[in-house]
Amino acid sequence: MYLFKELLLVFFITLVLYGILNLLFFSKGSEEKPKEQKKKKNSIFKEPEVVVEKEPPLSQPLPTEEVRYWLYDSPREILSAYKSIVHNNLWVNESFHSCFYHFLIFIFENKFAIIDKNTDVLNMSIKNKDAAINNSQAFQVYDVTDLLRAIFFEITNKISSFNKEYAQKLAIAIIIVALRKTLQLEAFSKDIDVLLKKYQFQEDILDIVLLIENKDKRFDFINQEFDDAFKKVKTTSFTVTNNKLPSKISTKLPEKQLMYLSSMHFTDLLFY
Amino acid sequence: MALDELIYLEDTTNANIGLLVIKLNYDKDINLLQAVETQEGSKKRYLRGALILVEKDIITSVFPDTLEFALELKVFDKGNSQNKYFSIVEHKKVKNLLLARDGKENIYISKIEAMAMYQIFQYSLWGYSSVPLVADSFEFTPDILAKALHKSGLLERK
Repeated sequence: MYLFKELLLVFFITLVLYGILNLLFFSKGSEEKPKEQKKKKNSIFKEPEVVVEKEPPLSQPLPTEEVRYWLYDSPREILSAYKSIVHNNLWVNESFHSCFYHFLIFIFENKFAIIDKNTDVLNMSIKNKDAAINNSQAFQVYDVTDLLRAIFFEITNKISSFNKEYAQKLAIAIIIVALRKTLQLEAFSKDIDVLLKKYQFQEDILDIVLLIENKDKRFDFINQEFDDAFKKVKTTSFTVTNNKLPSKISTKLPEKQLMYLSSMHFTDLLFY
Repeated sequence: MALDELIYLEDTTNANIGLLVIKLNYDKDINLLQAVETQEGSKKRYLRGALILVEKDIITSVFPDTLEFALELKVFDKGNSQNKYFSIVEHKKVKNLLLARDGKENIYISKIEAMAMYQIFQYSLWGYSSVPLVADSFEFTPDILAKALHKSGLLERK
């Protein structure tokens, strides 16, 4: 009996404790619920706007398509080479820009040519209306404008990984290397020197040119590009009449114009 | 070369003129180059010129000269010292025509070869009206001819 009383007492104590605890939790829950309901009622009419304030970026990309630059309006034949070097890399700094463009237009207008190794010289004795006989030689050549277009199209990614000044020196050096292989080199050597003098780093160019010509390993990628270009560039015919090369055309640098950059297309290489 | 494979000349005004290579002699690489004018929408063809190409030398550039070359082949050893293109040489009592050019190997042409070449030259004129060839012959310039020869692959080393 005594044990039964103890058990009853424990039972009552637990009941009381349960009641108190239950009251405590229930009172807390009942206090919170109406607050939430009030909030919900408010939110139906007014949704609080979440405004995340963004910090303004320190630098913004230049909208290159909307900016106009002082560029040369070049003929279609040299546009591709000009685009791959000047437009693509935004190398509009002087004296590189003008010197590079002047070389391109000088080469194009004077039709510089490099003899194809697989050509045979064909002799032609052609009578004209006055019965005078012109002795001409015809052979197969590479047009230097075509050659440079192919080389610059391929090489622009490689040389633009160098620093800007050095890469620009390489671009001018490639032109000089090509010119030094041409038929017209002797006749035009003075003109080439005059053009090169306009470039501020002209002294470095000759060193680079000699290294390229001596097959220095550092410039293997340039020599490789020349070899590839000779394989894929189309050949044209070249005639020398009465042992005279075509006469010189003095080229003038045109004035720059404010122009948009145009993007480079692969078709630029194919059609011009 | 088939007639369909004409190599059209560039820079010719108002006329489609193509170059046709006819082999007069394969072994000695003597060729006749004909300038053939074609007209769009018509199958008619006109001869506007004929040249002789020996190996890598254009020997005659106007039709009268080409005709002379052909007739010298025809008369063979009966010609005289006026012959501009050949000299007559005798080897083991057999007469041959010698086509001599500066700094190049001599080309000897036997009588039969000369006859065959003249025959082919005659065949090549068949079917054409002779008027354009004589009265309206095309005047080749070194540049135009060089471009056409380049297109036909004649400037490449074989």
